[in-house]
Amino acid sequence: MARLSYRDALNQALREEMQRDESVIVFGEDVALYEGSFKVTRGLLKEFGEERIFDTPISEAGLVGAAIGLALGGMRPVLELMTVNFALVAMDQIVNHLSLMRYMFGGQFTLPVTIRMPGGGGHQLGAQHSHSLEAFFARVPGLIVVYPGWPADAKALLKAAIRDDNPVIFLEHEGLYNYEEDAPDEIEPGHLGEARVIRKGTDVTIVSYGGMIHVASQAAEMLAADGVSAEVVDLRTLRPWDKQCVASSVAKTHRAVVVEEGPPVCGIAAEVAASLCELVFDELDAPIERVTGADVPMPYAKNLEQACIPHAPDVVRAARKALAR
Amino acid sequence: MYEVTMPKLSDSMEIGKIIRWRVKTGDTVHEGDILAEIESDKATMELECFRDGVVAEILRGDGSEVNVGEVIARITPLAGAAPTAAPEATSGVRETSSAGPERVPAADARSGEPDAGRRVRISPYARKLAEAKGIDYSTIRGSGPGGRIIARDLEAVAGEKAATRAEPAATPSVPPASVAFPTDDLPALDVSAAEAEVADAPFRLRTQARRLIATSRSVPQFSVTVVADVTALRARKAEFKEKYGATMTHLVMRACLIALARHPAINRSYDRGKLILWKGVNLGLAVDTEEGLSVPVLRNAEALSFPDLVARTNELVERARAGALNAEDRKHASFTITNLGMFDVEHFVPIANWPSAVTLAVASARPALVVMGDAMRVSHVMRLTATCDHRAVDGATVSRFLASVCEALGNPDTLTAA
Amino acid sequence: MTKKELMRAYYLLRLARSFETRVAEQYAKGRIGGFCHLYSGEEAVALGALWHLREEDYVIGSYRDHAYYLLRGGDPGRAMAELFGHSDGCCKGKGGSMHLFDRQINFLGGYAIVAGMCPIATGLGLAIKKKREKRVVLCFFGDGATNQGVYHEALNMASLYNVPVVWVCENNQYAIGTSVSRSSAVTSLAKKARAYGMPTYKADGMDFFKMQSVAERAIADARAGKGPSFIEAKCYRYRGHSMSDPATYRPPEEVALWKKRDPIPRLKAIIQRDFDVPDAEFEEIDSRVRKVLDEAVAFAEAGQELPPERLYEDLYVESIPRG
Repeated sequence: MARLSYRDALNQALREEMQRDESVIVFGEDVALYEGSFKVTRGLLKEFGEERIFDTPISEAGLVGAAIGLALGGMRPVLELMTVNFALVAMDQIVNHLSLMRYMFGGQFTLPVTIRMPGGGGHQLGAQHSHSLEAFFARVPGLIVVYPGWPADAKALLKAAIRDDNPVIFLEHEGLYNYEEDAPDEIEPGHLGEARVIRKGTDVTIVSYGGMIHVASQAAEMLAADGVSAEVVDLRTLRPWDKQCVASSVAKTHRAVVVEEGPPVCGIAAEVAASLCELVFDELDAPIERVTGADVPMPYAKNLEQACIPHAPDVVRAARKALAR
Repeated sequence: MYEVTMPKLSDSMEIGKIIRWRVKTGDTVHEGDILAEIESDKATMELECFRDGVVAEILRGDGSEVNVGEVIARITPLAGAAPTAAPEATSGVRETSSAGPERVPAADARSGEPDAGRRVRISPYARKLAEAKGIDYSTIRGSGPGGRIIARDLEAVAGEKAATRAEPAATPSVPPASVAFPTDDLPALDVSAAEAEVADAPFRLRTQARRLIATSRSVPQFSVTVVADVTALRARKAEFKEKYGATMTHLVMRACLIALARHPAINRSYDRGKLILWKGVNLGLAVDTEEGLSVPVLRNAEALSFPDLVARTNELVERARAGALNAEDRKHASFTITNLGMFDVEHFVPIANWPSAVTLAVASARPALVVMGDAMRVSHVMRLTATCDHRAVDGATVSRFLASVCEALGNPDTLTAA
Repeated sequence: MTKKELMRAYYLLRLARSFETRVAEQYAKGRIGGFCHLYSGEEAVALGALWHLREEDYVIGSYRDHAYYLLRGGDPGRAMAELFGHSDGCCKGKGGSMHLFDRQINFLGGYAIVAGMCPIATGLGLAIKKKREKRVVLCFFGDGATNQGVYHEALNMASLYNVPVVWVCENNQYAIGTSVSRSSAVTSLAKKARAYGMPTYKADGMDFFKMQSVAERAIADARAGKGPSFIEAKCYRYRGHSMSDPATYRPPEEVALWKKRDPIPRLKAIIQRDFDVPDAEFEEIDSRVRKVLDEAVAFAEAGQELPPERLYEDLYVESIPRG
């Protein structure tokens, strides 16, 4: 066991997978020489050389297309888009090519592409640099969408994503790179599509992922001090998401709060809430609460920005509402 | 003969207009020639010739509006040009695929509730708890938002902590998506205020409805009728009444218990692949109360002496009529009797009262002309109709059981023996 | 080229031309739905470009892809069945006219998004380099694609990384109804590609000989590791952009003029000049083409669509349940 940061976890996953499989190629803007704008690819150029990791022009659409071509040509590309905000430029390649080519062409090949994208807000980076776009990707059939919130999970799930033969959108939260936890030295690839109950409880289920899982955890602590036993479920994969795990939890606690950083309309929380109604309607003692980002572009001013993002007291408030106390 | 049809010139086109024919009957045409100008919903296009030949017939003239696919001309192919076999009745025709089987919205008894302005707001989970515990929630005041009844409100009523611990899920994985109680499939009854007043069905009636619908859906039922000769019994009726306070119902109950002792295979239930072999006879008795039908259960009735049977039955019936039955009183009837004889009913077929494998309907004792040997005589007969759960019992077993019941009824002394 | 090779070229041009005519006929009968873009008139571009390719080379192109598929060696029946939406089409009926694809012949697809497949071609080139293979990528696109952003990203990276991609621009001078002169600030499409530092060629797309000659050079250079090059093949599509386009934006005289340069009679004339082949032999080929296409249509007609129960197949490789 040792302290492992989210950043190092990702770095180790990349390194281990590149060591294991020669066809794994890492590329993106400033990933090689500069070692990545968030330093996730530190040391990889030195260890593997330009054959395996290379820098690219600012051409997100072109890069995603190139990743597709690399995969079609027999490689296993891991593309880093500098942030999820820039993925918007490449949406056609992601949604109109990567996600559907296998299906459209009758299953004649696989596209084992992994696209890593840091996202999320809270650092006064302004509206264009602060998006949470996981809901955009999660609604696209053909993609797998992963968003780990813990270092050990980040390593396990990135390894799994790289090894998976489906296109994987791998989201990371910019605010978590320095977050550390105790983790084992050896971490096996995880299971995509599997949620994790990170805290057991009986009175209310709090569902979240990514950056917000920490807000959810804090909220659970605060609720415990008040005698409320919250169960916290970390989705980890957003498409396909682990309906069975979440529904079983809500069947037990009878109340649910879903927390996401992005705006409310048609978001992940909306999908979870609708599904819970379908699956465990008769177990619900209260409507499902959603705690989401504000329905505005992210402003720069510090106080305004903080008002846009969910915090633990917001989640506590929602849980109390569900409990009607 | 090659048929020229109104072409589909755009995805949305359904009708085309022939602006102008460029060829006439008798013209020789070649592949690639333009036959006519056609106006589609989007543009005016040229109709291309796909076959070398001679125009034999023009069926629709300039200015005609024609449905896509209809024949507008015929061409006699030139010898040597290989015709394409084009049988229209092939699956090559493009079909618009439907989105899938039409989804019939499941009619929910709750959604069909008439809004008389007095809807009880209760969370789905609390409602489920209430029904499981037999609590009538219509009188509970809810502490949730907007007066909604929530789980903890039921804790207060039941006087015990509602299960906030792990509720055993129906299956190890996600509970099934559908409702716990079956509802009916009938279309909504659209009544106007002028023709009818619409009120909430009382909680008990709704529970009963759900139970009966579920039974009728899940239990394959069959019925067997026998005619018991109760002449001898009827002669002793007044005596038994005076001595034991017994009615015909008590006597029939006893007869059934005697027969059940002889045919234990009747005293069992079927539940999801399992046979429940009851250790005692839990005798359900249909009782008519002011609030409607109630079916209290006399536990271990087989162990009771006849006087005790009478006493316990009466007490049970009294409590039923007073609305003072508890959950235990209603549970696990392994055999059920329903008697409408007091209303002079000749014959009726009951609905199975699951989990009873046999539900016995008792009709009135009536005079009848019975043939015995060469003579006829006046007897009193009583029709007994058993509705049975065919998953637990079969016709032969039931018939043998009923024969025993008739035999017991024909020997009145055995009924009152200890 | 030998007579045999030339007659084969003639057969293939004819096949491509007649296939499109059959498609037009079937579309008019309602058997083919959606969008349908025909290649009639441009056959020499595809055939010339593909003529010197090896089996292991990759071909990728736009939605006007029937000829690419056929001339790469695809089966006309499977193409027609795909257009009919049937399960024995090359993509099980899930792609349709714009999305033919056949891994076996390394035809890696028709794509509906203009220039969308260009970066994919660059990626394929990168893969070839990484794997140290000797393959070449041929990427077909039209004049309109040269204005799309991702096209520029693709060419820039192709040059930057020196990948073996031959960019074949089918300049049929119109992007639906907008001519090159009305849409591109620089009307020499080769010049625009030159900005990315790669050799460029101009070819007469209506002439099979010229086309294959230019392509031969570009392909050989790519295979030798000299990087990407660009061929601007000037050509003409006889029909509208798609089945629903009457192409009224083109004057009939212009169409007639280009039809005079039809690659098929042109090739026939050269073969007859050089090898003295009688008309009957060409007619025999025409007849063979007709027969092949009759069989293709019959094959397509005999099939049927995948049942709805199979809707979710081929979406995910089975490591992940479908949520």
